[in-house]
Amino acid sequence: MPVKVRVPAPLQKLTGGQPEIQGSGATVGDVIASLDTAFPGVKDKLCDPATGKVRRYLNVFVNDKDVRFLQGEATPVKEGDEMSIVPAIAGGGR
Amino acid sequence: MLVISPAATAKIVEEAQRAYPHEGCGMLVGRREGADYIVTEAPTGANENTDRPKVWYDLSPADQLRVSKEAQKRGLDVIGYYHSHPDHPAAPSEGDRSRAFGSFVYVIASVEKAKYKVMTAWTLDDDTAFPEHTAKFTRVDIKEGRA
Repeated sequence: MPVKVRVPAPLQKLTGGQPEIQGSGATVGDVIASLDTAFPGVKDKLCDPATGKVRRYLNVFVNDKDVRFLQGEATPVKEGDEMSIVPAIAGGGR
Repeated sequence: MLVISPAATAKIVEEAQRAYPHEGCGMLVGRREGADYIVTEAPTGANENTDRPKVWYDLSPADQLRVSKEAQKRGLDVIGYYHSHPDHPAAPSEGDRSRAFGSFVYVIASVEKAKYKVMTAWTLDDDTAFPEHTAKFTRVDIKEGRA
């Protein structure tokens, strides 16, 4: 089922400059995998190829819920849901 | 070049001083015009770091999502981020560099004894960089004006 995916600026070179793209699938993981068809390279930017898990410097929200507090990549999505990729902004450590 | 509105500058200064001695942080909302960053607003976000907030910030992802959605409804976007350096120069640390993402602009505001001193702006030399990259920070000139 189609799901809108909001991507942050550093990914937009891979999406033709589009801040919102369409994916499809029944779970967060499925939707991420589906993005590679139209936008090759996006999946490897989002997920660690060794584990298949979303990279630790990224947060994924379905609507307004952080999937870390749901079922992670197995979180179900339904038509009309909105997925957002939100960078983990941090720094310091002087 | 980063062109920043007086209101956004004031918000960064206010948050840097309010958060002292912790690091304060927030988002830079505006638009890109070629290589320039035009910042109209600087809404604050929570520093969710509880271990060592005097020297580290973790900007609330929920705050980012809320601000980003609200900005996009008005044709704007989150184009960068800011944080403060309490009692430390406004220069990026290795942690700031390694955790930065390409294409965003990062503003750092120094605060000494709870008083704002100066701010600087930085961007990575690779627009597509994700954390654990090897990209370097390049300093961006700041101009305050109508954004």
